[in-house]
Amino acid sequence: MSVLYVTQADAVLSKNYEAFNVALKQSDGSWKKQTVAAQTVEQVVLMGNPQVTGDALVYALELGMPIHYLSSFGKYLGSALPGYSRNGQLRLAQYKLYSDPAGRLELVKTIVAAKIHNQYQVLYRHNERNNPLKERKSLVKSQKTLDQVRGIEGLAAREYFACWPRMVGKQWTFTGRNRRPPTDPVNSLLSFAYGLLRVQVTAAVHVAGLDPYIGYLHEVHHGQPSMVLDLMEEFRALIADSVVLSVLHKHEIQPDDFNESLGAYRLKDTARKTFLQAFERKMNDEFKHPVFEYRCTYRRAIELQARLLGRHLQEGISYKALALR
Amino acid sequence: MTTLFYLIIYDLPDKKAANKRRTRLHKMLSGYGKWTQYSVFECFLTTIQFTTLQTKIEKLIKPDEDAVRIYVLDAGAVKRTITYGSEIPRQEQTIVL
Repeated sequence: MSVLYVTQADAVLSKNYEAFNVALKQSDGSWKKQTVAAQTVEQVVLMGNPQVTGDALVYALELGMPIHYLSSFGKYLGSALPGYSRNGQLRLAQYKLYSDPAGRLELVKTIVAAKIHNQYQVLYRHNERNNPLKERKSLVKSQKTLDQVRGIEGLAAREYFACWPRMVGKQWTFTGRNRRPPTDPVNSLLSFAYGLLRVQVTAAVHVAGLDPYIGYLHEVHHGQPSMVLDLMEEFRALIADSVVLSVLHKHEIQPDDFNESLGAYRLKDTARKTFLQAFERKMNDEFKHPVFEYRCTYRRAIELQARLLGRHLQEGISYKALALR
Repeated sequence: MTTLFYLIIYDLPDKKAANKRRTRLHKMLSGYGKWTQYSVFECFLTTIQFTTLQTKIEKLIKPDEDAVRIYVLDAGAVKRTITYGSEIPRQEQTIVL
């Protein structure tokens, strides 16, 4: 099963019997057609605004394949999702925990503790042993309110990114995390990686039948998919941050791979493809799952966590956020 | 889900009706795998996908005129494959266009 990324804005994705056709515009103005075996595609990610014909869109949904839309910066815009089983019972359980302060606090603590744990592991692997993240993690357990937990999370995040300038190396200027728009190349890579991660988590939340707009760590705001953002937390450092650090360390992306306009940085086309490949490599990396004790890919792990959360809500099986080593 | 490696080869006579079937078969197989040579497709499919394809092929072809052969192989067979002048079969995890 594979993931199809279409990154060229001029491209047209159409259907030809059982297959997809992607027409790509060449620099000389001609079109190059490429056949993609639609049956073996698991999901489609479109960047910029390539066209999808009605036939192709309907066929994708018939095959149970979600189509995700990203801006050319990699910001998540939305998805066309196949009509998965809408699980009413699960949603009711989700709302119930929302109005149960004690249960909610427990779940949020689990998520934040795992997030800080994974951040610490990233720092540890890059020889940044001198940091207070371990204490922050143990501090999470003793907090009494949601806002206190969020406070610790914020503090840990600041301390975590404070170690980044040393880790990314001298040729990159990184003074701290910023976004909307990201004002330096490293921040722009981070934003891109989080956008890609969000695609995967959104798909998993829908597959598991959860309501994306009811979350616990993130406030329920108009248009904010709090559940997706909640589930993303344990994976940010684990997947997105490590991909960014690895492309920088392997020099797969160089400072001149970026275009700057109005203070915002974005990747050039070829570098974007390189980064997508790196991200996908990571998603298909296998590790031994600490709870289920079998090897699985990160992509599968995201879906497992969404399902585990569903079981937690409906059957009270304790939720274990994914924290590696 | 685990996938197996399927090698699908076909031979259809050069008649008008059969030509039509061949084109249709080619288009169908394009949806399931990679066209590697004339009349040869390499597919990495799950059991469900393969069963769907099998039913579709059975509906389309006429066994007294056409010949379709499917070799069911596994990951070991893929590794041991020898190719000259073209790429080794590979299951694509990501397609970036």
